[in-house]
Amino acid sequence: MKIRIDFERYAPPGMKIGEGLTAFFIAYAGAIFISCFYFFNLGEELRSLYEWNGGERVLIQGRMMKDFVEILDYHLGGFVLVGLVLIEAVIYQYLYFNAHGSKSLYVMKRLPNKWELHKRCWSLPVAGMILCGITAFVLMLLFFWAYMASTPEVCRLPDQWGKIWRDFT
Amino acid sequence: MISFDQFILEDGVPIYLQILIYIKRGIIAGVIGNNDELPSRRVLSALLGVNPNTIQKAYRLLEEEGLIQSHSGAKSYMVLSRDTVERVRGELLENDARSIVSAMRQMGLSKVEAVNLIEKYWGEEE
Amino acid sequence: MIELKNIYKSYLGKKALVDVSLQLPRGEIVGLFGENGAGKTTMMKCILDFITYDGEITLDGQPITRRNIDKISFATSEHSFFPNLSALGHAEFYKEHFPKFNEKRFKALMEFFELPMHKNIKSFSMGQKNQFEVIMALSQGADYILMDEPFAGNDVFNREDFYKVLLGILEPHETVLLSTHLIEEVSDFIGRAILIRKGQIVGDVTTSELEDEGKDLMSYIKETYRYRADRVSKALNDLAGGEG
Repeated sequence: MKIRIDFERYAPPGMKIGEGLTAFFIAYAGAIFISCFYFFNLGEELRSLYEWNGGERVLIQGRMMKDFVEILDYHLGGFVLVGLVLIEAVIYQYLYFNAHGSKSLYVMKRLPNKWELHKRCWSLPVAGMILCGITAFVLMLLFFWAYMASTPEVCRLPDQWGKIWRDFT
Repeated sequence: MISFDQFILEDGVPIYLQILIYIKRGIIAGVIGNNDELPSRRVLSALLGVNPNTIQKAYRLLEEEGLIQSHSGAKSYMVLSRDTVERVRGELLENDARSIVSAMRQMGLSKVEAVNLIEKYWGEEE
Repeated sequence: MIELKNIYKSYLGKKALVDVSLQLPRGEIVGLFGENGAGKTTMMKCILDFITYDGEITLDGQPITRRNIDKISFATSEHSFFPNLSALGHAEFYKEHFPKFNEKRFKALMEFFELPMHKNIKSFSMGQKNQFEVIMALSQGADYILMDEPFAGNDVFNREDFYKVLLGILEPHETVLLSTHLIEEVSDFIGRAILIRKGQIVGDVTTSELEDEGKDLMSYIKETYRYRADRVSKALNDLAGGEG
């Protein structure tokens, strides 16, 4: 079954959303790309746990791995930026109803359905924000899994998962 | 269907009167005959660019004078007996004569002068 | 019937409407006249519930809310179409949102004015934009059609066509409230004139009453406003006096 979403129904009537969608997905892909630099960080930190001893790679005694949160750093920040731009998009869409020499806001205010205006201003940006949020979360899980899998148990400081959230609060 | 193609709006005279006079002149000239159908009020309103109330007023007055009859479905037809035609002719002629006389009076003509003038042009026309 | 009862409105302390009471029954073509800033637009915006006001406005006895707002349509010289949407797109949008959208009338009017269906309204000429604005207001399926200076920028032939077409299509239950400066032009077209000055209704008369009094609309309006003639002659006197 082919599911087709009529994006136009969720944007101001007549707005060219193609460009907006393209811009969003480029930014979205950019945010994903930026986040991947996390692996460089991770790799570097992992390497610093070891030293070469007679042609053999061994763990440095007592050296502990950096916390996951520190390595994660701002690698998911791209999604926050995209989110901020999306908030701007909401404002832009409200203003769109008074732009180009016509106050179509008047028509929107006269519609029997009072949510139509807000639906057409919020839907796509909010969908974008949710997509960003979910992607960022999934990537974080992936990064966390990579961290846990690659870090030798003896080097791991306790409560890595908990520290992520402590950082937020 | 009675045509209003020749109808031209004048300034300063109420439109319902202009419609009345137009119809009456048509009757006298024989352009409008018994049983002829009038345009519906809406069509005439659109044709002349005149508010429907004005058309309604004209039609009502025509009805009151017994010149038209409206049937169900809002269609209106002329009802003209020989008597009514004569009556309308008399009425219009009287009106016209009255206005000509008053115009001549205003210009200071005596009755004899006025009659002479009329006779002169009456002859020319023939 | 739309009924306004004792409407007051002020913008930042400046009185825009003062004790306006008015009834607009169905089936009337009403002209709304007044100078710029007299309160014509403000009055319409109050009816449409675009702005807050003191007093009561009802439609068939009910307050005007989103439940009955579709009974009122609005065409404005500010325009309210979607500039980047085609005429066809507008029809689809209206059909979806206004249950009584009159598609037949829409198509007939589009054809009559020879407006393109697939071009964005933005690309229309000023006159075409005005026509389209009014077409949408007429096609919405509303009982009360408010028009605020809808023909600013149209040439006279266009406007005359419009009056005639309007008279031809309006149903007996439809009311038009037309605010305009073109008093002489609409004097035959309207059945009632409302005069507003400095936020107050200063005149309300049917054209039939005017006829019975042997007055035309223009002289009635001048008479009601009077001050203008006074002002001109006073100004002339002052000028002459100043020179002598």
